[in-house]
Amino acid sequence: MTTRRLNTAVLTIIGLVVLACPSFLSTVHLRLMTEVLYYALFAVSLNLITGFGGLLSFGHAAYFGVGAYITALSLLHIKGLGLIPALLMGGVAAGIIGAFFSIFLIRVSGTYYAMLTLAFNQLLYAVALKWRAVTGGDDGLGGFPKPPLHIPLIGSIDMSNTANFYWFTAVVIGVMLLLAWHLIRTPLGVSIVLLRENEERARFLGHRTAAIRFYLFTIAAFLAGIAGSMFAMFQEFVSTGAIDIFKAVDAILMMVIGGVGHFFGPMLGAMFMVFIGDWLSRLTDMWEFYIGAFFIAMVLYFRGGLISLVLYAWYWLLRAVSGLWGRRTAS
Amino acid sequence: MSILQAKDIRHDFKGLAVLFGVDLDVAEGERRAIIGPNGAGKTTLFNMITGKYQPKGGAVLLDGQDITRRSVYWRARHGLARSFQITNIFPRLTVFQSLQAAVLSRRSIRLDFVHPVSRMKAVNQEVVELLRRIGLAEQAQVPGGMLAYGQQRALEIGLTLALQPRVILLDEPTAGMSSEETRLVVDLIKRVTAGMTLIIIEHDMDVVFGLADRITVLHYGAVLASGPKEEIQQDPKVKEAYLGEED
Repeated sequence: MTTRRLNTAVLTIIGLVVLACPSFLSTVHLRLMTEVLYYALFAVSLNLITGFGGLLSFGHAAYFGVGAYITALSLLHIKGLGLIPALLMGGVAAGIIGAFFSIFLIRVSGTYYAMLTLAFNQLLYAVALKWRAVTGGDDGLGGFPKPPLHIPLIGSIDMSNTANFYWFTAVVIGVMLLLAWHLIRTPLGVSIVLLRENEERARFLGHRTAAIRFYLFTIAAFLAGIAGSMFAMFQEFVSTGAIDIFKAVDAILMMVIGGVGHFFGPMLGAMFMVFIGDWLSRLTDMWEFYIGAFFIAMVLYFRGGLISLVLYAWYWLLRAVSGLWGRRTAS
Repeated sequence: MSILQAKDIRHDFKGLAVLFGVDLDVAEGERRAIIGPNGAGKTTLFNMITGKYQPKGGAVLLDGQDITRRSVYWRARHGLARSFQITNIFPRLTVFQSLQAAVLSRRSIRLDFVHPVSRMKAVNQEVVELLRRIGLAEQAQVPGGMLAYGQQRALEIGLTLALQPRVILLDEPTAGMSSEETRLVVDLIKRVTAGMTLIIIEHDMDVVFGLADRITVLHYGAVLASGPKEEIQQDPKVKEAYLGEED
């Protein structure tokens, strides 16, 4: 009970530090931190499928990209569209695509699942690249407005301000992460883990695993779509880079480096990739090589990811502190 | 009144026939053992009954209703629960979580994404009760994959029990066990399945005579004999084909 209270306290402090970032980070770093937030959601949503559901998807950028493009297109073509409606349109569109792809993806597992997700991702990439009249093809989509956020009784908040947009991002992503965190604690969350553990046995317990997969893929696609939508609004520009295979690989890298299957792992992975990536890319042109080498090292020698390092340190600290406490009360 | 019937079940694997028209009729509350040498088709028959594979011919009836084309999960929801010969559990889930997944399924709370499981008092109470019944209360927080073999078999039985099935099918629950472990598991099965309809595949004749009141002998994909255990014990055909060559 007390460890639970302690964990809640630590998470609250982390949340407050995240919210306080604008007060101590430079504009450059605050922009990087904004990226960390939406990539964290992107990687967490993939982790629901891979870490909890046990299915490796190579096409998660499909949903991220749909979210980004739909938000960009809505803001471009619908006059006076609000910030929140634009965001939700991106998420819901990605969810619908996820539900549609599910019709095919509920049937396959393992390598076939990975290949089919890759194929769907490439399909949408091709659409984004070739349907120039709508997507702008290689040139991408830009020049869409970034509407202010209207809050009743408080008024309009200007989103072109870096700190304001950061807070908006933090709240949106925070809510989405809480939803995902809640999900894995519900009966559907329990059912999702059965897919990873032993799908056949789950069926013999009366679980209709196709339905579980349908819900899982749709929800994960929605969350990835919200992440993509935030990406579009933040960058104020969307191109095929939001939906290509490299974006899908980014999600896998973040998830694996952070820790597959642990809820908080991918968030650490996102932070690592954005900040270390930025730092390395200023030092050397070969930064992707080092990230790749690090990824290989993690897979070979440290499957638990960064999160397990943090947890080791945390429990070690707890033991040390409780040891000191015990000695003091004993004397 | 028969609760489960298999009528003229035929099956082959890529042309290699394994079941040549098997009939089975199990009455409510009956305790039936299916015996037969390796390769007789016992597990295949279980797979036909529980829907893992579709038979090439014949029908499976539950309460007189044809369920031959029903899915695995439909049958599990309507009262057919089975365990497996090769331990088939959720290796990284704790014993508590595994049973919880089964209890949630039986209560038809499978896709709820609103209410947290930890607040479902009735569900968790039932899991605790199950843990006690199968003797794994102390292992509640141990991952299934880390349990001793005998305990994994107990968990298998607990998972089938959690469904409160109308017919419980156990596929060699004592396979690969020492005689001591076997005795414990047989006691467990006797205790927790008392009064239920039970169909059990078993090689160990002590187990068979301890648990069953009727026996069906499968031999090369066909029923060699079927009846009360005393009758089967005396049957010369059975003696010749199976009981005589005890290993």
